[in-house]
Amino acid sequence: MNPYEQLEAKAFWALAVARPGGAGTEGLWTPRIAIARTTRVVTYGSCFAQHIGRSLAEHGYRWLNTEPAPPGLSAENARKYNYGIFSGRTGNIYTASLLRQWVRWALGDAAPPDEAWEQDGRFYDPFRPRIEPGGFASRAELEASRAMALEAFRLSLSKAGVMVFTLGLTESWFHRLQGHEYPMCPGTAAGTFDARLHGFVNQDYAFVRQALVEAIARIRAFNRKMRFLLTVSPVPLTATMSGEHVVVATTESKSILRAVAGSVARELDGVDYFPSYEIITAPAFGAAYFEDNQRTVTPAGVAHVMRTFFAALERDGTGGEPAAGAPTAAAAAEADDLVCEEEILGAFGGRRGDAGSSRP
Amino acid sequence: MKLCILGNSHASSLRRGWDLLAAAHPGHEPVFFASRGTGLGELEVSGDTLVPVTPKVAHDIAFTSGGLAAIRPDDYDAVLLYGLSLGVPDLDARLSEAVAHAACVDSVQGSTALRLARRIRAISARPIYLGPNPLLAWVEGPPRARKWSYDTVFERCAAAIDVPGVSLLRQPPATLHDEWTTRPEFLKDAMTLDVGDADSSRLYGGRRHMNAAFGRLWLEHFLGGPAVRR
Repeated sequence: MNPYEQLEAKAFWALAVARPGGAGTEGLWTPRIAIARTTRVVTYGSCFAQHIGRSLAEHGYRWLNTEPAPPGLSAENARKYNYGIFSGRTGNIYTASLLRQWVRWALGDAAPPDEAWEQDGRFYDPFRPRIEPGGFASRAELEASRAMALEAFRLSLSKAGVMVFTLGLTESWFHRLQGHEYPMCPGTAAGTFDARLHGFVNQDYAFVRQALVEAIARIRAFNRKMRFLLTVSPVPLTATMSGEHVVVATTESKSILRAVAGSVARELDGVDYFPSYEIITAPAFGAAYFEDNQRTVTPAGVAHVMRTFFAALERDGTGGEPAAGAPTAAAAAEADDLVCEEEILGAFGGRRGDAGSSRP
Repeated sequence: MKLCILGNSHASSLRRGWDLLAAAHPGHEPVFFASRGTGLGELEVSGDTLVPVTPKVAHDIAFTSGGLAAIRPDDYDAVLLYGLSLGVPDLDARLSEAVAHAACVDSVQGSTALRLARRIRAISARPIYLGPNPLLAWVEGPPRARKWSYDTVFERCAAAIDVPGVSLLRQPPATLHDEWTTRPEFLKDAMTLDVGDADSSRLYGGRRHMNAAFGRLWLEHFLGGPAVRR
């Protein structure tokens, strides 16, 4: 007998993929951390994380929103002003190092830099450049709003039992002198690009891994019970500064993020990886989950991801009672109106119409 | 003065308050039409009247009004719309001007009260008053975040009313603990709206619904105010 003879069917391509009826998602994910319906879950990260937060709430799980829309605000305006997108009003946190930066600011290890972008009499938050579509009326208003977001982020770290974090990008922009990171290249969503101050960093494996491990360690020092569920956004880059073709850059970027997520999940207790990336991108599942632009994830793809997520939780028993129903493609379509700053980069390629609704 | 009062669960305090007040105000004749939640949003215009479109609302307005099947605003001197999902939003001072403004506008524009006011204005020129939900009762606790001032928010809500001849009313000062909360004693023995069903006239929990003493003060303030005083 050899070791392969002991393996389950899921370990063999012929049995798990090249089989009558096609590949299945059975065994694709066995939860290593419990998420019960009573577990407070917070979601942050790249655009794709929004699907998980919404689906958790829709399925009766306890998605924690520590910066809810103010009373009276309509659902339409709540969305316009980015309430209820993530657990706090952070905007997209595309990189592990941005997560680490938010954690340090929220927990008082460092202060946000004294920086605001003014344009036509309005003020934009460099760290949440599209959080208010028309900008803020004053710098003081911007700072008050950011303080509120940091307070909510801190509260979410203290109250949650699980953080779902979706890694989206390796390509990033930093202030060359002060070292802080921007979620968007200055001069794109707002602000003015200055090559002397703004530097591009395409984060490699070691950089991403260190940032992620440090972010997790700092959160755990604050809330020792926090567990993490990592995902990688399956959505390709809108644009790359790497000098490579965008397809080549996407493959490298996603490969790094996927490798880091797997490594950290294997190494650290209380950290798990959920393979939404594979469900959308793997040829084994038909690779049919992108729209015609080959970038936007279809509602059917989102539904497949979330169906797999909840089925595994409930099969594992950590989810308590079975969910009322798996997300349908129609429900996912309604939820597909994602909020992603990074999409704006598509406009700089002269192909604004190409920009999809789904970003990394 | 014959007053048409349309309301939801919050109208219970006014209805019960009027019982304490009626003897002192023989010149006023309020007629209540109430249904819980947003039920009165299901009143529709038919000729010069508002008529219920569901059996439940038909039952509730008949029960609360003493047998009337429809509402003809011109039969009254004025119309008061009370509660009906209209609140003056309690806003954190750190919210942006844009968000705070949107919250004020949406509070008014999204309310059942304003939707009803539009329908009434389409068939009647009688003055219409909007009495917002009571402010939450005060509770002891740690200091809360700084707020936008009540006056500022109130004025923005009032400015968001786009139906002519409709006035937003302030909560009477005598009922307030501070600018954003109601005195907690008005929670005592607060009762649910009586529409003749099993959930009628039961004790309320929570901080939202007030008692007959509150309703009495509210109506005294309203009936004694310059808008209504004759």
